[in-house]
Amino acid sequence: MRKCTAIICALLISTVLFSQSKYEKEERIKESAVPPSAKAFVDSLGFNGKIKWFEETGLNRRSYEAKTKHRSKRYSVEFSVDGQIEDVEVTIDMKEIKSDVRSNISQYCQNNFSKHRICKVQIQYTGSPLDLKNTITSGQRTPGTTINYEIEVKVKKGSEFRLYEFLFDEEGTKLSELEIIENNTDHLEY
Amino acid sequence: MSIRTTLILSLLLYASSGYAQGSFRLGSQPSINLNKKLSAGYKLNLGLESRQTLYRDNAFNTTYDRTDISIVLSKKVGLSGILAGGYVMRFDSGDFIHRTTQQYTYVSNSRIRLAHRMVFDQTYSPVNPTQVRLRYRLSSLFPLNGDSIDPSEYYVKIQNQYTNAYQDGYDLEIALNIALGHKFSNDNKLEFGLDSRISDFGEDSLASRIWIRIGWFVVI
Repeated sequence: MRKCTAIICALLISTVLFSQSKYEKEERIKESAVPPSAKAFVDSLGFNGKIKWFEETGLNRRSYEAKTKHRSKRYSVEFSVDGQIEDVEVTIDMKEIKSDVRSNISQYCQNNFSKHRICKVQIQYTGSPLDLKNTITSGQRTPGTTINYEIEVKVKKGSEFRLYEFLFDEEGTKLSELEIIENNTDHLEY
Repeated sequence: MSIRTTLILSLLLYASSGYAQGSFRLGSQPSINLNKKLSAGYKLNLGLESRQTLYRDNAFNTTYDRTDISIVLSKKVGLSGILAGGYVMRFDSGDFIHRTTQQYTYVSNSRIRLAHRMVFDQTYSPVNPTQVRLRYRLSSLFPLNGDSIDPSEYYVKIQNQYTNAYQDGYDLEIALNIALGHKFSNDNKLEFGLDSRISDFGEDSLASRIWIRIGWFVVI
């Protein structure tokens, strides 16, 4: 029985380790439920649009996210549960990425998948709160701010179609990948 | 256009369709959709749907209309397309009616999920000539909490369908369906809504119908 339990535990652990799937549940929350430091940071960014707050729950983590539209772009500012800024993501068009970086990203997709389609592109800024604030308010990246690209891509892998979220660095080198569990569309087909 | 504006416009259109002049029917249409994932991107869908009329010709009178049993095999084609073919057996007024269907669905991955569905079907009846229909349906989903529809959350589904039917002559039917759905899990959803249909555009008066729909979509 002990052997059997050990095998089951090993299987469960390996499933968790190797699945690398993205699970996120996003729930709208009131501004009053957000850590004061997170609210203060967002207020300092000078966004004109309405700020919507969300609590995001993943498999192993929880975070707060402020979303808004600013200068015709969608901004998402993510905080840890204690209100520390984690990153700022801005939805952009693939064409806005420098051509050599764009070419590296496309090359990666072409080399690894028989078909692919870019679904969503976000530029991700990380750095100190001051650097992030200066980057967002001025629209110019400060030297202390790191840029990555978070890209959602629908791909054909073998005979299967899958959805991935890739993180590429500033040069277009892949840093990580997560498979996004696609929503069932039966209620749209029938 | 904001989600709220879209919803208000849809509701207004929906309300106006219910008041169309001519014959009017109100009924219920519960359905169960069982889906089974197969290998290599194939899926099998088994559907059971029945229909009852509750109100007709200015009088409440409950009558059983029909039951449909359907089986559809689908396959993902391309990055966003789904090609499907199926068979429907309808039990209607003591007769068995057979229908074959071929459909293509394109589901977009944009922020607001949109699905375009085109269906070509042929209906064979022992008492009527074969009917051929070409249907186009646009569906959209709106999460009621957050930017995406997560498990244990509610959503609104709006569908607009245009049916071109050929049998003796041509008829057009326009349908608008608004439903409130609850996603228990990715594989289990329940929807409750109203399906309003207008047809007989070539006649002196339009025929309008409203079906109260309850649909259960489950993956087995």
